Amino acid sequence: MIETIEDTRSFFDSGEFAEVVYLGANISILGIFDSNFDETIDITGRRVGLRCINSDVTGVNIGASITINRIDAMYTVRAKEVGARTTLLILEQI
Amino acid sequence: MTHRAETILETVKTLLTGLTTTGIRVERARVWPVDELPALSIFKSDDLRSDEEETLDDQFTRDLTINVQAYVATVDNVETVLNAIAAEVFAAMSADNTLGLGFVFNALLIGETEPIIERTQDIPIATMTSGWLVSYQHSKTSAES
Repeated sequence: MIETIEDTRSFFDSGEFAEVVYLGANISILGIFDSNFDETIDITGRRVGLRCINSDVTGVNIGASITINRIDAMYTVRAKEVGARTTLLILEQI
Repeated sequence: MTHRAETILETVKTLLTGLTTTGIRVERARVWPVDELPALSIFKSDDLRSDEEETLDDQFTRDLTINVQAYVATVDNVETVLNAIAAEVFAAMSADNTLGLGFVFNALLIGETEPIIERTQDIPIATMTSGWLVSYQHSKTSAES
C-alpha cells in the first residue's frame, strides 16, 4: 500500500521507470515518459504523456515547454490531469 | 477489360497523385491506417443507375459517388491544411469534367464533410472527405464497354 509521498517517489527512479526531463535550461525533474502507439480516425501516431509527482509540477502550466533529452524532443504541455499524488502532463510535440 | 467504375477510380487516383500538399501519398480503398501524412484515400461509394437510362436505347448510365478522404497531422491550424488540400483536389478534379474519359459525362463536387479533429496524439490530427458524383455510361450488356 502506498502511504507517503516518499513511497510514490520510489517509483520515480531514474534507474528504472523514470527519467530526467527539463522544464527549462537548468530546471529538471523526474518523470515517467510514455509514448504509446495510437490509432485514431485511421491515423497512426504516438500518444505521449509525462507522469510526475504533483509537487514537482505545480508551477508547470499549460503551454510550458518540456525537453526529453533521451529522445532529443521538445514538447508543449497541452493538458494537465492532476491526481491524488501524481500529475499526467499531456504533451504536443514541437 | 475492366469495369468502367474501376477505370474511373484509377483515373481519379492518377489525377490526385502529385498534388502540392499530399504528393504521392494517395491510396485507393485504404484498409490499414495512415502513417505518412498528409495523405489522401479514394473510396468507391454508391454506383447507382441514373434516371437518364430511359432516354438511351443501348446504353446504361450510372452515377458513381467517389469519396476522397484527406488526413493531416499538424501543429498548424488543421482546418487551414484541410482546406488547402480540398482546394487542390477540387482543381485537379475540375480541370476536365469528363476526367479525360470518353464515357464520362460529368464529374461534379457533391460537397465536403465537416472536419473531424482529434487531439489524442502528440500532434493534432484531422480528416475531411470531399464527395464527387461521376456520371458515366456503359453498354446494356457489359459494364466494361
